[in-house]
Amino acid sequence: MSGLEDRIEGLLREVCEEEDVELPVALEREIVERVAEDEDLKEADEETLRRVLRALVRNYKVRMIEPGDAVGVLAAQSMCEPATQMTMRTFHLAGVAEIDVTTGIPALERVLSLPYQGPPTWVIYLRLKEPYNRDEEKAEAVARKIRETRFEDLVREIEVNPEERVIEATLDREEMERLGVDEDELTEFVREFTGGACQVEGDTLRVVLTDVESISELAELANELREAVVKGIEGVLHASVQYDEEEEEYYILVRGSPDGTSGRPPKWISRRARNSKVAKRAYLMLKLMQLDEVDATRVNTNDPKVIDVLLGIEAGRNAVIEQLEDVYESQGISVDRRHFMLISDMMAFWGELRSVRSMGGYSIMELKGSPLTKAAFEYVSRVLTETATSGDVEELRGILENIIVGRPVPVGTGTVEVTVDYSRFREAEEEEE
Amino acid sequence: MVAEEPHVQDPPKYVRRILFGILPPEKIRKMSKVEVTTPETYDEDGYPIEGGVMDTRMGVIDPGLRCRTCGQPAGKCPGHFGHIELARPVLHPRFAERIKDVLRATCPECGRVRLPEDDIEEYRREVREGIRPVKSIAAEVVERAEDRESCPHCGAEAPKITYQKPTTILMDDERLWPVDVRSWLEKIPDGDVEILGFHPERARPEWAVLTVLPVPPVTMRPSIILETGERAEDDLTHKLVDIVRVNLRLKESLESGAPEPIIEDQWDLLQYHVTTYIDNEIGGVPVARHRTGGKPLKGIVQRLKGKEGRFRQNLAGKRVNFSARSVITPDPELDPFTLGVPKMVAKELTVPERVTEWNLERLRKLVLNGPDKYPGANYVIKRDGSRIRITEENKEQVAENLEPGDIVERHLMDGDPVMFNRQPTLHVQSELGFRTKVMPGKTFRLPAACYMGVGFNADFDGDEMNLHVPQSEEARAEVHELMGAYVYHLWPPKDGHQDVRNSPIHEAIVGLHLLSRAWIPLKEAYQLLEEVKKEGDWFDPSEVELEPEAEYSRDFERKIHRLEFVCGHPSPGEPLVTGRQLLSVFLPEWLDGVKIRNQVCPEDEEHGTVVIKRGRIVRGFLDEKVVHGIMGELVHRYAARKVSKGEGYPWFEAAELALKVMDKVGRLGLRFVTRYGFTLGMDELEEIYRRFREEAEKICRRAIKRARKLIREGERRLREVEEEDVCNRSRVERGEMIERNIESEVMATLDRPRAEVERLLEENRDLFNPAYIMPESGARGSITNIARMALIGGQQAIMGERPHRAKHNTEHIMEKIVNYSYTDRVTPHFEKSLIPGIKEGGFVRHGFFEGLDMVEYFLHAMSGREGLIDKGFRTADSGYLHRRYVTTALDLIVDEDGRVRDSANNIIQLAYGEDRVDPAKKWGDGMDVDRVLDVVKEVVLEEEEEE
Repeated sequence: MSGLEDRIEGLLREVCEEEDVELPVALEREIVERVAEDEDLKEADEETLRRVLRALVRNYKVRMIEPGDAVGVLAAQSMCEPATQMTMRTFHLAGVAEIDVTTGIPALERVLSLPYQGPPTWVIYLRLKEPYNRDEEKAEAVARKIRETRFEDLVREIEVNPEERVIEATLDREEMERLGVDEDELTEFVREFTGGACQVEGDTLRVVLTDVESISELAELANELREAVVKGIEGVLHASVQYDEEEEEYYILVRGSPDGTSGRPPKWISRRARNSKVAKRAYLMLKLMQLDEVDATRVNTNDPKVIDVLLGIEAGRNAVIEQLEDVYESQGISVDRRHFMLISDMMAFWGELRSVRSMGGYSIMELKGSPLTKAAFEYVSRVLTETATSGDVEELRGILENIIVGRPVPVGTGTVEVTVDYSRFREAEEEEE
Repeated sequence: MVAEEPHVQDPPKYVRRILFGILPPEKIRKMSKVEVTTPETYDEDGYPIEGGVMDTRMGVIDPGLRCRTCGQPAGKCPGHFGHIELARPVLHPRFAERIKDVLRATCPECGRVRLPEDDIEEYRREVREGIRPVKSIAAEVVERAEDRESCPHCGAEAPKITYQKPTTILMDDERLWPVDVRSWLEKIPDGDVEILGFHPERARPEWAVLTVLPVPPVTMRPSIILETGERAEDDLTHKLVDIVRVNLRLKESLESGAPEPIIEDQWDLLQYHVTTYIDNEIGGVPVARHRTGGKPLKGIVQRLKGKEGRFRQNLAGKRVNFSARSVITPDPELDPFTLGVPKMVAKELTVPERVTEWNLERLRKLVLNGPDKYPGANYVIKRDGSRIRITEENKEQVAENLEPGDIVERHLMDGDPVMFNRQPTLHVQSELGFRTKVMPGKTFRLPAACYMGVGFNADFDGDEMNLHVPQSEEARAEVHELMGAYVYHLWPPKDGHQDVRNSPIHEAIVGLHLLSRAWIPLKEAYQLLEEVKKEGDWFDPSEVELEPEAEYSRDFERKIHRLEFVCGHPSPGEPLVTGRQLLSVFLPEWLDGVKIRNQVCPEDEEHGTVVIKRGRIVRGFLDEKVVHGIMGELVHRYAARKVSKGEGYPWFEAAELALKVMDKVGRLGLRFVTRYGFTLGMDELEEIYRRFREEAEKICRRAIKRARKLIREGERRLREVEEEDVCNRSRVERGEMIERNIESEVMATLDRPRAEVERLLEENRDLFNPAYIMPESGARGSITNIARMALIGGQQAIMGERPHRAKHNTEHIMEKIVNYSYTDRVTPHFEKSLIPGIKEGGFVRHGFFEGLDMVEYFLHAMSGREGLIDKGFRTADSGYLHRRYVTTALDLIVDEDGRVRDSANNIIQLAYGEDRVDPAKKWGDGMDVDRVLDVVKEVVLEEEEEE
């Protein structure tokens, strides 16, 4: 930073104090830099600089939001009015089965009620470390490694022979090769999973289970085996390598199971998640982030609730903003970012993401104190009975409550009152006389 | 004279807060004026019977009668409650479920919650601290207490409580009658009531067992007299009569010592009537119906519930006076933010104006005009509050007696601020402040030169809009200052100036675009300016001096820019001016250093960018983007200048200035396009058709060839998968994936020709063809529309896919069923295939100019229909979203420190939008330092020079 910049910054601070304004840091920086590098102001004396800075500060001041502005309604309207023009379209990502990215109103609806229900197709964007992100082959190897491969994917048929206590499976060599599982690996897995003897003869895999007593137990075991995850991480339904043209790198697009992964999530996850499915999803994401090949700092997902649980409320809030931006961008509608921020901040206020829904454990409405607002919203009789039993008090602080009882609304000009000081009139009159 | 304090009426009772709770029986008796004991309503003369549900002590509704409680006639008497002493208590249906919870959690012997004292104390503390919602605490208490087998306080065993909806409670499989429920609940100490989610003072649980039923005042259940002269009672009255009748019978049975089963039946019947009186839509309870007609009766809950219920219909939304509704029509002669109001509306809607010494004469004249002659007055309100209707007969006398302090309700007059609204009221810009201009005719007139209807989303094909006249000085000021000519409505809060709303549109844009390309004979230029001038305008064409930039010569057309043209038929030697010169007439001189790239011909070196220096458009062709850009620059540069000079709040003036300029500019565009003409017809499309037909054909053929190959390949691969006889997850998935991928590739391939044709059209633009001018200047439509009309319809899509019938899906592959129903082809006119063919799949090769063939037409209509359905759903969906959203965010308000708070005073944001910039007033992303600095420097240097 040059001496000139220091001097300008000092002046700017003084001016701000005089004007009683606090500049946002970024703006302050920008002003200092721009004024410092301005050719016309190179020779300017302090008085001129001061004037310029004062004018700049005042220009910021008149662009500030005014006290009493109903920014919540502005945000809601700014986001919902263009929703009428949205089209419902589904985009398909090339080469990826079953990953639909919904847009338009359903997408908007989804983001706003996200904390309650996860996205219809849950996707994780796995960014990779060097050198895995440079080479498609290497990235593909990682994808193969994490994609869950179940026993049934590798065999053509499974037969249970109850008399001999034997499970027989016909191997599908093609699939095994495609999914990168070799014979030894598979037999080892089966041996461990069932605890029985396992052999391969030709294309048939025989599991002999002498310990199993009942037939039903055997059948159950066969079913379990069918669904057993031989390789990869359970819950990774799909993993395909994609190319990001902007970043010029390969990444892995993972479609996760809405039920998450098996195993016991760490305590800090389950405590923050409240909902066990969310916890399991978060755990899956955690497992993926902990992989050596994965650049955990850049991993992303389309479920803000998972981000909230895993990385904290601030990250969750940013994820909601991001999602909202995506929805509008994909529709080609421009909406100011501040509206998204406000809504996300509202959703994040209670320390965990809450949804813009009418009722239910995760909804913001449920937490609002005002019985009348709730009653005027939805579920009138339910709200009224609940309010009556707990003997709640309507303090009439909000907007709708005051409309209901017919009082001026505490917003905009309703937040302040103007009265005339008649004594001053009289003083003036007396002076005249 | 000493200024007198104006007379302020005593404000009506002020609601400070509302306490919710359950009415205790003593209170019901105390507030009751009469005990209702007889089911009779009226006697033979039609007079309400004493002790009946229509007893005149509960209020009157018939004219002529007086209330026996307050002595007031119908209309004045607010009504008074009565009560019914129930012979046996019954459960309140809405609370029954909660009562069940309480019974399960408490001990029937000692009435304590079945939890250790310490836990109870802990929960009580939580309730009082109010950190957790009481509801969730209560739920937890019940859950824990009901699992205990015995009472930790007295050791009594816990009975098994079962609940049958809606009002039956069983204890150890035996009926627990409300009397017993009540005495059990009475035993619960206050401290335990608290943690069960009830309130010891306002809602004791036993009060939810009704022993006394309040009877609502007659005034809230008025009967209506039918045309036949019969009385039709309100649903609640019917229900109350039922209750009284059954109650009476039960009482008699009890007194006469009737057998138990009979009493129990009657008791249940009483319970039924009370239940349906309160809520007639409870599952499992037969709905109570009208005796005639069988329509379900409306219970109390039904009165409150839903969109037509009390809350949403009457409380959250209210009806107003001083409003009007009519069809809207455009008027290019109106100033921006002025609204043409029909005279007949102006005579009906009035503005109250207080008489002072200074306006006495003016108002007296209005009173003398009376109610029928405009401008007149309809009422005078004297200082004592009496209201005099002005008539032809009394107007002289009223005018004579008019004195300072009176209020005259005079007709709406020019310049009065009014609110104008179009539904659906989706955002701020759906209701704007306008200034009145009274006009003949019956429609509301919207200014059209600088169109004010964009935010309303209004057009003139029969749209109706609403007018509201503010009735107090404060309201008038707010309408004028806050809803009126204000940046909010020029640049809505949605995205600030990036989303310009009210500006010249459609034909005015075409006009402006052409004008900026035109050379106009000097004489005609002045004629145009003369046409733009309005009566009594600030603008005077005779003061304008246009310097001719050239003289017409025979080869003049060859000397000018390739996109410019000459208007009219000038003779050689005639002086010519440019349209840009003409436009510059209206721009202020301080508008300097503006550079905006247009979208019509951004690549053009000379005219691709509009450059404004010292209020003159030096070069560049206008289009929509430029017009919006100029508006933005006008407002923000003006504001920045004003602020830099230290002149305070700039936005009203800035917006007014921008509108003033844009109104003139818009009118000029309109006049120009009217004078020289503009049309888009078949000829223009034919020109494009002939020019590009071959190329377009080639594009289509190429795409079709490629698609055919893809389809063949896809069929082959699918058959392969189908013929394998093993099924497992990955195989099924593979089949689906192949189909999906092929389908999406085919879709993409066939979707390309239209885009390619569009690009072809884009690349060979002919800005002398109106078919190009209209979309390219941003006036209306897009190149897609032109391409569709002239050359190619393109691939039709339904739900993002090519039209198709049921697909052989997973099941088909698995079970090898391909032929079980009408599948695998779009209509029976095609052969079956795994992947639909090209034409069958909705590829429309022709444009509308050539005409579509039968198949194309049909499939095109299919996707057109989808659009309509989609639109219908969208409006419904987004409407609900909107409502939910607004209600949740309703109370987020900026406080005096720029923080955002909700109504519970929680801080939602420490600084609004992190930088506290109002999106409506932003320049660039917040404050565009570069551009502001430019203006600031200019102002500061100017000032220094002066010194």
